[in-house]
Amino acid sequence: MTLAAPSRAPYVTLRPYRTSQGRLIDPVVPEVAALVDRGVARSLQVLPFDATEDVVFVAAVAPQRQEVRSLVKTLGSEVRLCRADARELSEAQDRVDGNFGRFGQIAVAMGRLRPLALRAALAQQARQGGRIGQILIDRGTLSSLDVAQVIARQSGRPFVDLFSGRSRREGLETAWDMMPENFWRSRAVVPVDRAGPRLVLAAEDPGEPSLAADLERIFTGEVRIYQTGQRDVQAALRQHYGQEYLDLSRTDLLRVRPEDSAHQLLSRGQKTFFAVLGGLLALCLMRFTGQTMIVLNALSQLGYIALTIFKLSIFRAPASRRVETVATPEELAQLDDSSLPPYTVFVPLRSEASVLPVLLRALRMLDYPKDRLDVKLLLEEDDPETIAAVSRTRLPGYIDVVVLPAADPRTKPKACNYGLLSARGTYVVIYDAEDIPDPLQLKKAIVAFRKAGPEVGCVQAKLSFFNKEQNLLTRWFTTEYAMWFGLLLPGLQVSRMPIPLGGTSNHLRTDVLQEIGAWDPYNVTEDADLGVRLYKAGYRTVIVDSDTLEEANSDFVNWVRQRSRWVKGYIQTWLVHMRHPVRLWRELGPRGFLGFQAMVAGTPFTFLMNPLYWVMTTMWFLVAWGLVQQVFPSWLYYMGMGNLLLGNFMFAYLNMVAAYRRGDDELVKYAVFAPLYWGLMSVAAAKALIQIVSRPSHWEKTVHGLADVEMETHVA
Amino acid sequence: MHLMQRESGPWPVGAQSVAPVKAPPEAAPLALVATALNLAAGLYINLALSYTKSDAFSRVANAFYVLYSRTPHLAAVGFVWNPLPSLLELLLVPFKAFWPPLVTSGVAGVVWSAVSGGLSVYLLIAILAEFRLGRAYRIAAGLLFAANPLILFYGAIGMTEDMLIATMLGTLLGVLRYLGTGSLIRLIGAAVWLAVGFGIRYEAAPFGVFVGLSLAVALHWRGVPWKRIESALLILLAPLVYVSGLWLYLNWMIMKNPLFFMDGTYSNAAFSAYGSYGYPLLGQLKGHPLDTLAYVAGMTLLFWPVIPAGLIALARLCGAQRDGRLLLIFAVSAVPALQFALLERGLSSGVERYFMYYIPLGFLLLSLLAAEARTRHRGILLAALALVLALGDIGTGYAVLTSPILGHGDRSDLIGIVQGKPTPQYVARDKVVAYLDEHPHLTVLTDSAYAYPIIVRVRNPRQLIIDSDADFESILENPRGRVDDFLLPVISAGDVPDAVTRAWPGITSGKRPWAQLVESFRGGGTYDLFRILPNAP
Repeated sequence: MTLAAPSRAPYVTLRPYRTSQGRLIDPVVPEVAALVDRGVARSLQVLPFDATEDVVFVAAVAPQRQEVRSLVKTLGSEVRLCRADARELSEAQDRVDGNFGRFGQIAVAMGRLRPLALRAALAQQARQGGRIGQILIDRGTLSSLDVAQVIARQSGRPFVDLFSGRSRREGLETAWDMMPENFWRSRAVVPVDRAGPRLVLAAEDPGEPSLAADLERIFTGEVRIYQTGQRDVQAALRQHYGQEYLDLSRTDLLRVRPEDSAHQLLSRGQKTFFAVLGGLLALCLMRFTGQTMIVLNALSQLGYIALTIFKLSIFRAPASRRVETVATPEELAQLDDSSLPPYTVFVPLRSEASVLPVLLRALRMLDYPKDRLDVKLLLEEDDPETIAAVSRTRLPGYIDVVVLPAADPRTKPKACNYGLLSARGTYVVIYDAEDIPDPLQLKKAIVAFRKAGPEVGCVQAKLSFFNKEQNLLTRWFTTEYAMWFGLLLPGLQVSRMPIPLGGTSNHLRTDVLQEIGAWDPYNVTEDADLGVRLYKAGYRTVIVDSDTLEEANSDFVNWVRQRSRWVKGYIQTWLVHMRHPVRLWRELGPRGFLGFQAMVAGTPFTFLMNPLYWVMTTMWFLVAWGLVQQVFPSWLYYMGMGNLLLGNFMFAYLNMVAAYRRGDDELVKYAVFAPLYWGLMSVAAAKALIQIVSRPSHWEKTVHGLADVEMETHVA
Repeated sequence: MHLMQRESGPWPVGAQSVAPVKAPPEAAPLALVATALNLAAGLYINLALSYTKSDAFSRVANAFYVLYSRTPHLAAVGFVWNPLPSLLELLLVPFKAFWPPLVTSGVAGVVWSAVSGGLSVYLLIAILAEFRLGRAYRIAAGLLFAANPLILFYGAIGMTEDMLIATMLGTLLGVLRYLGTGSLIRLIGAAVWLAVGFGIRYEAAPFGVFVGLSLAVALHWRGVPWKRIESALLILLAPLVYVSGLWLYLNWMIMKNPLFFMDGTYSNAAFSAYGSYGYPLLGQLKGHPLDTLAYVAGMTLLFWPVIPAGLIALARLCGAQRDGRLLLIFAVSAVPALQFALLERGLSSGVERYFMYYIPLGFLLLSLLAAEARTRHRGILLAALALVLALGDIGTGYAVLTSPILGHGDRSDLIGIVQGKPTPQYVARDKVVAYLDEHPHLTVLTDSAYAYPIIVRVRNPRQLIIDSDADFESILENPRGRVDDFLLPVISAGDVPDAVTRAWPGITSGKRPWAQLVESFRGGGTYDLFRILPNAP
């Protein structure tokens, strides 16, 4: 044998590295390392790390030591000694030996963590469970990359930084193509190298037993799994599947349940139906003008009466008692933090850089173990201002930034669908940028889910406003929300009818959400639509007694914009689900069908019809307009008069009741004048009617940040 | 107390959640007994003694016009008067085909007043249960209330007093339960009862105001913030205010006078102006508040137990005990208080039925005081109390039958009924009906205020042009060729003239040459039939 002179021993790095072609190489071959007794190798700080047919390469911290030289002579072939860094050699030894120390000890030993910080994190872990690495990330002590490196050291696996700046290998495409996208996504693993039958993968959690079993079953060649960071995996997935993700977020529902998608506003059958109906109506109006108008008027009046009776019956229970699910302080106290599942929070942001600080504060206030909190800020690629603002902000570890490629439709549901592809939570919830959720809301939702049973797919929290006293519009808006979330939705819950979800704060089971095709990106009230689809799929929604405070729209034009989108969305939702009325009847059942018609069709119906009747009434009193007498024969006149005088009062009164019930005493008197507010709604409804024809999926963006009160004061 | 608790921070707690409050089990059976009692008495009085009270009968007639007049329309119910009784009676009017007395004798009104009497008992028992009084006492009190002569009489003859009392008790029950539990639905229930009450009699308005004030004070005593009190009052009173406004509007729309109900043709004011009340004492009260007060206070003798009960309750309120429930119960005296205001201005007949609200007031006050009494001999106390209530009932009967002042109003009718004397038959009316049935080709214009017993009895009511018809005024002004005859009651002095006489003064004395008397129907009143000649306008 020959032995290279120690004085000329070259330095060698034992850390895994990438080649210029992007291949990832671990310089240590475990089989070669086994040539030396592991105990001896550690004590002498030597490591045989590679070999050819003739030469064994041995790394040593002190190759000149006599003991080292004596040892290598025993190997029986030509040995080339190399000099190695003590830490790298030790890490390599660990990799070979599988010498997994405790995470914290290793992190401290690696100099990434101070003992005091470790102690605090361990205390937190003892309190609420969870993984120490995630806890350290969420405490801002370690980055996810740091954690991955420590885990790599702990497990003896090579660590790989997927975004170290080197170009990736061309041939990797074939590796990606070996499995479908959802394989990589669901197992949080990505291919990083492939050479012949040897496949190198990087995983967020390579030690996951099921992962190894899956890989063994699927791949026939040699598979090595390296450790990498969770965000690296997500980013690599997004980088590779960017277009596919975008397509999924836009077309998943369309692909899975095309009949439930608002991509096409009207089906062919509906177009034919409406054309025939329109023609018949025109014909009748020409031939039998008076009678036709009376029939139409009678139908409309009956519709009003039916809606009035429906709402009265719906409101009775919530006005009598608290029907929403209440998570009592005792129940919350009994929640074992260690039993809490991961929770994903979506916050779609567009042109909302200004509210970022408050949003982050509100999120930080959420009383939920941060290691299981998976907040995703969903940004749009063509919104540089918000992206820049987020980039400038030091985000806590539990907040991810997801940037969506710029593409139509530019809707909130599309952003959420995109985010859902990387959601880690058992549950997901959406908050708007200006939302201030009850800090206990996630826990309350968990309690509600656990109380309710498996048939509950969604828990809807209540919405209200922090700037309710800003002006008359915000006061009316607040009473309307009090009625909607305090009486109407709980009433629908008790009546076991479909619940059109509110725009935010709807907590959903992730598996259920995925099962039903997530949000419809073409529906501008995707929340209402989702509520109906949940019901169709056999899931219930319950209301939880927890508030999210939002910013009430205080500007009339802005309000009309927002409201017109809602009304348009309701019309959209109705048209979509009424493509097959008989099937819908079967899917929803009589009760659900009735509730659907009353809520989804009834809401825009009243907004659109109200001004017509108000104008007719006014004209009758001003000029005794003959048409009024013509379309209102006496029997119909009394019906109409009843609707006008009693129906309007009843709904205004219900607004008062709702404000009182919520404790918004200062708003009760303003609710008396709610009919004026309905006039404004009719303006928005008219706009919606025009838009449903011209731009059915256009998302009218609501401008936030117009409140005259500091949001900060409400985050506490 | 938990009524107005709010969490600090931006998530205030709203309505309280309470288990539904159920009426005690004996309430419904006793209500049925009371209804049956009222109905039996009503049918006896109405059918056996042929007694009908004109106010009650005319309400049934109003309902009749809606379906059977020349131009059937809902407005014929007469929205200028509180329309709910007639609207309720409208539901029974179509059944006249099976049993004509429902309309021809006004039994439809009897049915509803009997039901109201039963409902009053039901609600009274529910309130007594709210006071946590025992079942035996509740049953005794319920029966004694139902058996009170005035309650029974007005529950039996189709009048609206028992109906209003029922809504008052409903209101009180709701507000008392709200005070007890903080339950929003109870407050809403009270508000609905108030609004329904206004649909029956406008005295519900002052009652509502009194209840509102009492509730405000009661809540204030409990330390409830003013904002909360204000919103509670809005919830309680908004329906009443709205219905009142609606009613004023309907008065304006129909009669071009929003206060027509108060100062219109057949209002108390009009009757008063014509001297219809013809009761010397009333003249002495006008402009004399102290005398008026004495009169109103004296009417408490209609149910004497209210006097000691009221004095004790007042003493307790003036003392240390700030019990809002006492205040609320006193709100029942809003109607007598309104009478004070009207009598002092000479705008009321001051009859006994306007003061019968002292009866439920007495029952409630005594019961609450007994409920709060701290004694080891509770059973004896309640038994004694039941005896007092029974004596109160006897006192009512004695008062209205023996005292011309306390019985001012329907005393003579009551005496006749007690003695089982049939009411004198209105022969003239029957003659008119027979005449019209024999002359079905005639078209006759008449004022329904006086002719309603005829209108509901003729075979073809559509041969009559009545004041609820849209073209009534026009035909009255220009009758030539549009109507064959005018049917006029012969009005006694002090009565408000009918519409024809008001439009054509002197017609009965021959001052209108185009109107020729063709028939005069006499007996228990007089009706004249005038033929419209070709020279008529």
